Amino acid sequence: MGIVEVENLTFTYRGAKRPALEHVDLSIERGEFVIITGPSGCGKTTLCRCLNGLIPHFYPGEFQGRVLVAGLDTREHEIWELAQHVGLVFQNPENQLFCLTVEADVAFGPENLGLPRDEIWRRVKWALHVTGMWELRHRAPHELSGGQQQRVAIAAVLAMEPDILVLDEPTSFLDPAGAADILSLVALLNREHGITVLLIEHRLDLASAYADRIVMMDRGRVVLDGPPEEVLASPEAAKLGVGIPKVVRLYELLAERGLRLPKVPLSPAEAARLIAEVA
Amino acid sequence: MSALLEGFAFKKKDSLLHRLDPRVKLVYAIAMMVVAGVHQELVPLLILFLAQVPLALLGKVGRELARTLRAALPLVLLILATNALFTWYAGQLDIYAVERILALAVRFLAFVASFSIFTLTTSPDDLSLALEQMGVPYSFCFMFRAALRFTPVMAREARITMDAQRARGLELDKGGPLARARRYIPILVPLVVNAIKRAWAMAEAMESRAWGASEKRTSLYVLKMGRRDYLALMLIAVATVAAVLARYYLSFPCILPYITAALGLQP
Amino acid sequence: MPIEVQDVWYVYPTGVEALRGVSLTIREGDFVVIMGPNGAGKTTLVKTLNGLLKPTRGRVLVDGVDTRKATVAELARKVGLVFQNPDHQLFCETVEDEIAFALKNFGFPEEEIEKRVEWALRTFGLEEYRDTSPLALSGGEKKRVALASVLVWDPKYLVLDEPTLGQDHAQKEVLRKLISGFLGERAVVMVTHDMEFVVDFRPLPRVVLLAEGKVLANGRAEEVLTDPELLRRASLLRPQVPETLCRLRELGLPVRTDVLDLWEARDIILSARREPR
Repeated sequence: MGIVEVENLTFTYRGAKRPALEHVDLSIERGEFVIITGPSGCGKTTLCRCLNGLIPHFYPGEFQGRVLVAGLDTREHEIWELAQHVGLVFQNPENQLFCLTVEADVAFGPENLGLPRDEIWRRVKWALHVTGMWELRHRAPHELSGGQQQRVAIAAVLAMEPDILVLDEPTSFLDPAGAADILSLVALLNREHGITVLLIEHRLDLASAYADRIVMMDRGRVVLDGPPEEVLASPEAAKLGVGIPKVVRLYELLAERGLRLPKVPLSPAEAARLIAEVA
Repeated sequence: MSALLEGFAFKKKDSLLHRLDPRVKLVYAIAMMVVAGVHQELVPLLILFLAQVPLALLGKVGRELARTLRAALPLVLLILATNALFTWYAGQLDIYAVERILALAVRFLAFVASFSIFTLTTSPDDLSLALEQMGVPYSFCFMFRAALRFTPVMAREARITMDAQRARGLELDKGGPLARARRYIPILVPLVVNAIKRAWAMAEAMESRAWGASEKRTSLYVLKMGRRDYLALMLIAVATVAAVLARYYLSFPCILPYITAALGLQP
Repeated sequence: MPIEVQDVWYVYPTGVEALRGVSLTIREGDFVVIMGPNGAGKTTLVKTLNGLLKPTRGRVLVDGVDTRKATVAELARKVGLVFQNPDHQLFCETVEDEIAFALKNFGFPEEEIEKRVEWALRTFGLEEYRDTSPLALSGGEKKRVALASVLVWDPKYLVLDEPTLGQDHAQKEVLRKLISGFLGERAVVMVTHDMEFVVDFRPLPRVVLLAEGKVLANGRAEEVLTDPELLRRASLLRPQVPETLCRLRELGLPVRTDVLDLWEARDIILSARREPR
């Protein structure tokens, strides 16, 4: 069984006319790096909320189906329990940092759990080091750049030592350098620390090279689920109006004219290599 | 007005007072309030007020204190004026009454000085930690910290909103007071709406980091009272007791009659 | 008459030098994109164009008028600035009121206001939301309301600060169409770091690169956005198309690298391939 098992999930927010999620099935294995993408309103954020219990405990509504996180049914466990398995990082870093120093923010989660002080310190030190924020630990959040704030938000969530890191469009408010930075940090956490990652992202040109799988959603349903090369080059993806990376489009344009590359490239470097091989 | 608020903002320095436990400084501020509240005469209140000057110097915040007091002068004048007016209206404005009114003003200044010294030498972090360790529920301390944390953010948003609306032709400096107040609606509405949205986003983030997980919340930082702190507390206790006793067992002369006589003025 | 930025310096009260000698000309019909890292001074520059910020040194002339000698309201009539985050400015009870807000501030007559609001609702696809509160709309719809509420007074110069923030691909295409529709007699200045959004415009804009308060480059997109040194200094990532071509060239294929168009790149690759090696 995977770390996350979503079984036939249908959810309608209280007072909404249409369900935000319909019959969603999703399974995520330990160590995977999965991207969820889709047009605005497709249910990506709703799905995130279902993973750590915000739905149904913080956002009431009609909940059908089941969500299991590390074996725990989200309907039967409190958010604070689930938060120790699913670390959720939100879009706007500013609103996730509420203490007066970086260090205090990272300690916030473990403090809430009532852990002994030296355990809290150990986690805080590890989280700050792994996100490269140890030097800035005494700074106030509003003194940091957007990218730095987002790193702190990730550190704060890592201090909970979750099984899976879920990030809801973490690069939304960042400039390209900050975005590339955060994405490579997340990839590093996945690759070298074995942290399972679920990333909601629009910037597929930057992120898809890191992913094992891309899940595409539309109007509350899962439309595609597979390796990036398959999903991005499929006709359904093009119809959805998602931002297909230019290198994938290049692959398609070359194929139309008879030049077929051995696989779908996910980055300019890969594209160049594949073209050079065939040319 | 902003100068007055500035006078209460923490200034990071390395001084004797800065190194004292925040609880000690809080006790001092409260003790000063009690003592100054108990005394009615001008002479003891002047002593109490002036006694804080060396303290401010100890805390290396002498200049900031002076600025705070200067900024508080309008309020002081208000106190003087209203009291003088009512006393004159009641036909009781004599030299002793004037002295009493001046005493009120000095008492107010003593309060301002003590709280100013307290906040100038105590970081908000330490302050909320002190409150926490003194038993104030964590949620209140959290609210206090969050308010401080987001004040610069909201100030920045207010500026952005003002810019955005001015770029749509809104002229904030035109018109009489009522018209001007209405012109601030396009500034206030987005500010309030965003504040509410922010509170919601914060709540989500807090829940996602196990807010409410345990009744017994651990704190990463702990304030420990040292020898210096206990010594300071003892001094404060002794001084407070002495000052209160002085109120009931000593009699202080009125000095204004002497001053006016020395200056050759009629009372 | 153009907007002329003449050797402008701007120093914030905190002492931060946001602009250090920026010179720029924006003529009617120009399409200019200002790019650069956060903190480069892009938003500061843009605020000097409508007088929100007056230069510490140097001057900005809008149609010959020095911005220091005019009020923001006067300058805003010509220079319409659309801010990044619509949540910072939407406040009315209905979309109709929101769009009419600036017109009322500028003193347009009633019938004129009605006509223009109708036009804006139609052009931006907002008719069904006429009586809805703008605060209840989705992110993409709010952006359209913000854009509509500025274009409604028909400014000669339209300045957009990060129009694609928080938008998905489909919403960005809608924005692109709207923006392209306003090129022509108007000048459009866009501050953005969305590289792929910029390179999809036809015709391609003029690109001004700003870094640390100085202009690094001011030229055609095909030249500026394919130059690796310039992009590095501006902390920007090269768009995927020229990046691929550049790496192909490193691998030995004789290809041009100053190309932003996908189809052009395809043709270049195909013809390079047919050449004997």
